Amino acid sequence: MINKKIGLLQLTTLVFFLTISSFILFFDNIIKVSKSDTIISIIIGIFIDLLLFKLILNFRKTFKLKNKIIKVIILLLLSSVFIYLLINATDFVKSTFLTNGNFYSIIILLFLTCFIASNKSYKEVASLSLILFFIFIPLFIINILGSISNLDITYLTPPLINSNLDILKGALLFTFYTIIPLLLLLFIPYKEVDIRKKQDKYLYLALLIGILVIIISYLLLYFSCSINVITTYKYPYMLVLNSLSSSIILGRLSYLISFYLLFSLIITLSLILTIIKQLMFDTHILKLQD
Amino acid sequence: MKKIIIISILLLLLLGYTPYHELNDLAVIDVMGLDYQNNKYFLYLNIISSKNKVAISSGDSLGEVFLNAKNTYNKKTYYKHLSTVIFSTDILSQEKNLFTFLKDEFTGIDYLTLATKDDMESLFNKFHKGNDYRSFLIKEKEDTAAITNTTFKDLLSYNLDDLKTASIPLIKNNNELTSNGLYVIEKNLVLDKELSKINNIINNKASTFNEKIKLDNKYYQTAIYDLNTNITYKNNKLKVKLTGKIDSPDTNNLKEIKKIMEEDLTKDIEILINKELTEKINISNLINYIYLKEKDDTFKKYKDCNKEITVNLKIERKNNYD
Repeated sequence: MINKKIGLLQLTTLVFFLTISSFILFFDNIIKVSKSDTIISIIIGIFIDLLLFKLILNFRKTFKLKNKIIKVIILLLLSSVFIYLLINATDFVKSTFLTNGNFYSIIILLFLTCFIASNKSYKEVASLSLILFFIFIPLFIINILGSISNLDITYLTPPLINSNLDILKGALLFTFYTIIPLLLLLFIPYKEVDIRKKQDKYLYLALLIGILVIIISYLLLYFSCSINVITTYKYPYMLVLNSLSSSIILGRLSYLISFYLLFSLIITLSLILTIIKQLMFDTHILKLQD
Repeated sequence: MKKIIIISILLLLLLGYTPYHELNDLAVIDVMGLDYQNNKYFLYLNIISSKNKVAISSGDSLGEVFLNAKNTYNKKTYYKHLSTVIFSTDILSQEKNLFTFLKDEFTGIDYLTLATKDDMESLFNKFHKGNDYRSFLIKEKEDTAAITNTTFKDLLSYNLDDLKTASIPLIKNNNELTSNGLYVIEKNLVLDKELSKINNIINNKASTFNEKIKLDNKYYQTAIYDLNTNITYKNNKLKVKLTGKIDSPDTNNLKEIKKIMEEDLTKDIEILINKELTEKINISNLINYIYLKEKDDTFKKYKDCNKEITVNLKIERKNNYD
């Protein structure tokens, strides 16, 4: 008999990718606000994240969508979020990898990729996230090893240079960007997961690992160039990847390896599409109610 | 459904809807030179896809000069493989928007940057291949430590940073490429090879160099390697500790040579610090260690603090030629 439940490890990797999904696209907004004190904003944001995540996990156990009007509103909201993320992802791909490429070709390719990934149900998206996780981790480690030689400790600045208000704004922005994608978890039924009892512990672990990846990525960026340079770029993390070409990885291969940055975006977009499909066809919610 | 999607992806990719560039239609650039003479900007390009042909473009502004160079020898100029850019000191001191222009107009920032006081045209006519500069940098880094790989990202970072002063390695055309020290852009100042060498050592960017030492009318070729600098600032005292190893194939008794080398390195560090204080520049980044503890009046504290410089070299045999 085929197991139709989502594996716990698969769900964990899904949560991991949801946590880091806004890092590559929107992290520059946090750095522009809290500048050199971004790490303090992140630490404050972690505490707010943990509190909000606890609320999400508790709410998830009893979450049921019955009202049709609310379903339609959520559907419209999710569709607009999907389109917004898709356009931003296309803009990222075009400006970093395919500078001479056609915007609409890239958007169609990205959409079709996510459409195929979201063809069935949550289990397939979660399986995809597990596979991509095992590709993500070695590429991320290669990224760290390649960037270590280009780090300069003299870019360290004393803490609390910026105003407390800016640091708090940065913290709230960080919480916003990490928690909003995690709200998609509410649509994945609690009972559909294997080993239900250990779920919460593993999901907390996934959140913390995701935040750790964000912190490591930020530190690699912080020590590789001046904060005044980082704030002038829309996708500052590519500054770190540029330096790879001079160390471990030769030439253009660094751009080839950097495609792992797109994994979290593809998973998030596929999950949103799956949720939209399920809400539209209403099959999944009905089964739980039985 | 899936078949329709896969077929549409294949059609999209194979029917040529995605634009591409034929390699034969591109003039691929790997070395670029920028100069400013007689109120005119000059651009020198080395085209690797055309057997290292050189193209020269000129104009009254940076924008015009790059626009004129958009097509070289009837091919589209392609800058994505840019590996080295050589600036003349004239354009660095004259054009304030140079770095902003390069940052905005080019996506890559990992190309190496060098500067020269010599005539750019004669330098470029003689040394315009990427290999010339790559081999020069490797050789010079090992021999003298007076030069390091300064990418455009580093240069931009130093330029925009609040504390650091932008500096770029200087090269000279003496029938072969040689390092000529460091050029401080903001002050139009040149630091000689010795100061450039000690600066790279303090910043842990160079850890080995060779030097010829004269002792009792005899010369000894010395190798100093495994250099490491440790800098701390505490209680108004700046401690610079330099450790490394020393070896000379010309003698077994290295005590005197070690003493001379340690004194030379200490003196060089003192000269560099004095130069920084008189010219009000930050090349060695020693002031950054003070800034971590004292946010206000950092430069004054750098001037007034006690500086303790210790150089310890250990005598250890090194096999140089196997």
